[in-house]
Parts: sequence; structure tokens; C-alpha cells
Amino acid sequence: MFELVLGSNGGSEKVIFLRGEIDIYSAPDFKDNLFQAMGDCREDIVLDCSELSYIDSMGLGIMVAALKRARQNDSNIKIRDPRPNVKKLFKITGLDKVFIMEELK
Amino acid sequence: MKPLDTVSVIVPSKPEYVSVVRLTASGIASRMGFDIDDIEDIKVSISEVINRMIDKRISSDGIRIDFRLYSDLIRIDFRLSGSSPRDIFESEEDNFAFEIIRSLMDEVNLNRDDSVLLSMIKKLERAV
Repeated sequence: MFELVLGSNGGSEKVIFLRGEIDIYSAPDFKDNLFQAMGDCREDIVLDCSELSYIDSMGLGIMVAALKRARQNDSNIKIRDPRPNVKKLFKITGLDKVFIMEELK
Repeated sequence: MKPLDTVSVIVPSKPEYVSVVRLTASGIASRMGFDIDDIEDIKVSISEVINRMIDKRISSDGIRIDFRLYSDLIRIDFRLSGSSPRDIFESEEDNFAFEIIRSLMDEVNLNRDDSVLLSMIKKLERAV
């Protein structure tokens, strides 16, 4: 099960909470909802991954596409508080150097 | 070498069944004594293979996964029903997935000559 929740706008950042699992089944919903939530990318996007329990290359690919779109609009995407298993995937794919990784907790 | 036990699962080649295989793998690996990090590695690797098989529509009759349990490792074989093996890691996106699998598993073998499409091994490292 996967859920995307748009947080309240906080100044220059838009926080999007990701919950559950992003896999081949939920990836199409994730893509549609993420791009809709990003809107016109006037502010930086924060993907709060603290409750994201699973992701694989399908989800990572969508995040990379979202990052390209954000950068075309001079904004950026931060990955906030990923769980160890999610963080590991960013690391082994080198995406931890592409995204801004942020740990608040 | 003969495995101690073998668990086989056949699922339709549809996205909604990938999580079922992940849950099965998680249960088997947990019972064998793998820690949570290794179980996550196995779950992601399995999904990456099945994702490619579904994406390329190479099996119409379902995907068969054999979990072969040894005392010190698990070997996972992916078989095709009703189709011949093909290289499922041919595009750039596929390579990305394959590199993830190679990073997370101890051994990965692509077999193109028989019905086993891919087999991968995760070793069980017990605390001394």
C-alpha cells in the first residue's frame, strides 16, 4: 500500500510525505500524484521518506524524473529522513550525490 | 549440492503479485535467520528481477520462483513458464536494476541456455 500526502506549504519549501511501499504496482500512482503535488515547482520540494518502508528502481526512476523537472524550474528536491533500507538504495545507486539528503530525526 | 528445503512459488506476471513474492521471501529468509538488512536486500533484488520480467512481458503463463534453502545460504532461481529465456537486462534502465541486484546479493548468474533465467545467492553470516 502506498500513500502520498501533501504537507502545508512552509515558505520556500513544499513538503510531500511518502508512506508505504513504492513498487511496480504503486509506481504509476506515485508518479501521477507526485507530479501533481509538485505543481509548477516554484519552491523546493521535500520528500519526507520517514514512513516510506520500501522502494526499488521503479520508484527511484520516478524521483529522478521529478528532479529533472524541478531543476528545469530552478528548484530542487530534498530527500528527508529515509529509513536505512531506503537510504542504502540511494547510496549504492549514487543518487545520494544527486539529491540533497537531509536528516532531521 | 542438494538444498535442505525448496519452496516454489508461481505467480501471474502482473504487478500486483510482486509484493506477494516479497512477503514470501521475507518469511523464508527470516525463518533461516537472516537479519533485517539482508532480508531487505533480498526483497529488493527479487522485485528488480520480477519487475523486468513483467515489464518485458516475457512470460505469459506466470513466473516461477524457487527458493533453495541451504544451511549457510539461500539461492533464488527465476524460471519462465511457456517462454524461452531472454536477456532481461538489455537497456540502460535494466542495467541500473542489474547493478542494484549485484550490489545487494553475494552472487548473481544470468543463465541463457536453459529454463533458469537468473539465479542469485545470499549468504547467511551468523554471528560467531
